[in-house]
Amino acid sequence: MTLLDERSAGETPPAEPPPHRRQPTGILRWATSSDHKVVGAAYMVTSIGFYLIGGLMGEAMRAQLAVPDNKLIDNGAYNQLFTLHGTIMLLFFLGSFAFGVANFIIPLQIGARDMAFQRLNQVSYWLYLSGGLVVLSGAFTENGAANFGWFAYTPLSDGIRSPGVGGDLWIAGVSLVGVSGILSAVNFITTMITMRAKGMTMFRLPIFCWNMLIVSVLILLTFPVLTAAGVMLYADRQFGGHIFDATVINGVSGVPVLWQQLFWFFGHPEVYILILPYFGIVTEVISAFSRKPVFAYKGFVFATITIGALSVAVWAHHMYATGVVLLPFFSALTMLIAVPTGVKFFNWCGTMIGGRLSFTASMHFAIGFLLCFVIGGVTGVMLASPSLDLQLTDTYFVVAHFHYVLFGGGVFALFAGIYYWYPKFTGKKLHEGWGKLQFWLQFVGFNMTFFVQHLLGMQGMPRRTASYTAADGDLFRYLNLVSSIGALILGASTLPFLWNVYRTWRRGEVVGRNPWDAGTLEWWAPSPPPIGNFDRALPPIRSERPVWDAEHPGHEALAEQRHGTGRADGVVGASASKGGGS
Amino acid sequence: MKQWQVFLWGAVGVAALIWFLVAYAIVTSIRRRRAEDRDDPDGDIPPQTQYRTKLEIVYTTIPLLIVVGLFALAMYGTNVLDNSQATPDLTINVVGFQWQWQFNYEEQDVTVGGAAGVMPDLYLPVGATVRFNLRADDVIHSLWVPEFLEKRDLIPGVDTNSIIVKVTKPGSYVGRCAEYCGLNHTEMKFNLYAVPRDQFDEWVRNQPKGRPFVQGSFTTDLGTRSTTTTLTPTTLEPAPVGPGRGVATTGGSR
Repeated sequence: MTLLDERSAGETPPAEPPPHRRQPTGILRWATSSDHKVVGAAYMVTSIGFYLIGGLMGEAMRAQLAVPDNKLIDNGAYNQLFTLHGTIMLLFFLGSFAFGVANFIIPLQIGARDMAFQRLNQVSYWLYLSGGLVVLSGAFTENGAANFGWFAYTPLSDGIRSPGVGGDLWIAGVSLVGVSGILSAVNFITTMITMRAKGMTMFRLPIFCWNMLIVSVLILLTFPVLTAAGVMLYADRQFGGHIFDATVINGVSGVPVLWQQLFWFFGHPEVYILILPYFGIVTEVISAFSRKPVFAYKGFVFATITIGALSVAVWAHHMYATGVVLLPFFSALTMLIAVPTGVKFFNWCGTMIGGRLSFTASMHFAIGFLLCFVIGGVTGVMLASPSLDLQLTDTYFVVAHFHYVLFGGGVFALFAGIYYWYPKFTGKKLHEGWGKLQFWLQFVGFNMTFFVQHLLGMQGMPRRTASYTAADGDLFRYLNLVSSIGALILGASTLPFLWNVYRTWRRGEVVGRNPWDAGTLEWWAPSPPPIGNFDRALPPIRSERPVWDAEHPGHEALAEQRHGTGRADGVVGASASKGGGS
Repeated sequence: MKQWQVFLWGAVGVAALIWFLVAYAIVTSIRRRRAEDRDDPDGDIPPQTQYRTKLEIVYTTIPLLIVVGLFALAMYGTNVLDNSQATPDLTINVVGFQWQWQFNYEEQDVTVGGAAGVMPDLYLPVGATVRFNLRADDVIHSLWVPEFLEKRDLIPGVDTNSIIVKVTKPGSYVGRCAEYCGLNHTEMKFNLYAVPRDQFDEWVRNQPKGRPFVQGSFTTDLGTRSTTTTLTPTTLEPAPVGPGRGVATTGGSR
């Protein structure tokens, strides 16, 4: 029809990439290519490497806590273990993996050839990798790695209480990854605002892109605070700064709690920086395997924006027990976040209800995400209440809560994403059977490990304790044992995954462009996409599922309000400023 | 405390209810899918429903109302549990340091502490309302006896933190440091014995009087500070901050 004609006139297939003299392969390609797919894959593989390292640390801690009065790991080593476990999982794994997916998928989903700043993208990756290695290298110094916990409360983390190079390396590594995150965020925002294909209006961006956009804004708001606080802490440690300690000099002193304010101003939005990309992934997966559009797409976008806005105003809910924060304010705003998060659950369930579900490995992980994450969500609302928090904070209840959010939410969605996009990443499908085995091991192991930790916390087990005694009672003993056995099962669940990747590399099922019959634009490109991404003209973009609309004419979304969603030929950037500034 | 337990289990109940609702929605969609498979194995594309504005308004409003209700309950609970105005029968000045506790019974002029590998013993009379003034000079600690149902940080530079507890039941309990404070954080514990009043008085009589409060050395950036500091009551201002009464009082008041 006319629309099609108009579009194809403006939308010539992307030109062939200039002939390269000789494409490097293997490790040299990784080190030199600025192609967004190579950088994305590098991020993902590196993150999984950090995940395995951090996971082994978790296993070591559970081994130490399996029985009372255990002497397997001494206090000093244990303290280093939980510090590194937290730092690696939060700063070098979960968020970085999302960056990898975003690097690979965002240009494809918006119909672009690459990211806006390709070399900057490479710089981000190298800063991230070096940051991780710098933090880990602390383990090989004289006093060992940093051992002041991943939130490095002052004055414990100053040069007097935690001497040694390990702490300095921790600050350096965290600052490096902070800068890397800022550069990536700039890149994502620019790419999504300026490089969308014709017709791809803001309200036709796939949900994953929307979520990454909000995440990038949050990064720009909070990562500079972390990096600045890190520099101040470094000044305290090395140059006698006294910013964060209470030593009185000439009648004035520094303020230890200031560190907590700065750190959590970064640290709480960081949780949303970690989880929002995975909300996006799960949304794509559920929509594809329900064969339906995302239910209430716009409501979902506004919910994401609301979460992003609220998340920068709740940091002090980590600090109720300090006695220096205004409890009703932070309690109210923290609880309010439950509303947009609840809306998302309606979106996900609404997408599934009435859909033609296919129970792929990816969908298993997505449903596992829904069931686990909701527990982390409701315990979060419980902890927002000051009277409960003053009892439960700094106990295993909190440990259970944030593992339900970040593992039950994040990691389950992460594997949903891997199984979903693996065909696009490599051109081959991961084996479904091994994937489902991994899911069940992970689901059982995860819940066994962490559900009982709620009870341990309510029984009075504080977090970050290297051991407990037989005198603490039978409940401590048995619940800890259950948790440790669960951790073994959870650890074992990575083996089918690694085997699956190896097996697929050797003899995986080769698939075409769109093996899942999904709707977003990345499925229009070949699998794996070549340099330049698309080898044919893009389909007309009239919704957030252009490929679906093109491949299933007559089955477009039944929009209640058809009008007002933008003109059919699209106005690029029409609502960009609205979305980007929130 | 009874109200606290009611609030806790009420919150757990609401949480469980929400979980079951989500699980129910998922199971429903799965079962419906199975039924469709049976009836129409070739059926392929479901109706592409996307927007139901009224439904969206409803499912945004209901969680909002639930949250407002929970917040009201939480604030009510916080105020009910707030006993910061209670008059204490007994005032105990607590100092936490790496990795020991010291307790100074202000009126009785008795100080107890631990030794390497020995947890200090804190005796409290049943029926008394006890105020703990919390102070730390090295790093942040947190005083926590699980049966107190609350914890409060000891922060260098902040001398105004305190908690007030009414001892209702005789027994022995274990108190811990709940804020990670370095190498032997795990071992920073104390025994708490709640004993009848007469036993407590006898225990007080048997304690040496006037033992200096805060022994041991605190290493600071300015070198090793004098090893013995006796806290006089004047350095511990009456604490305006009770449990759950957030009043901003950052450090620097010393």
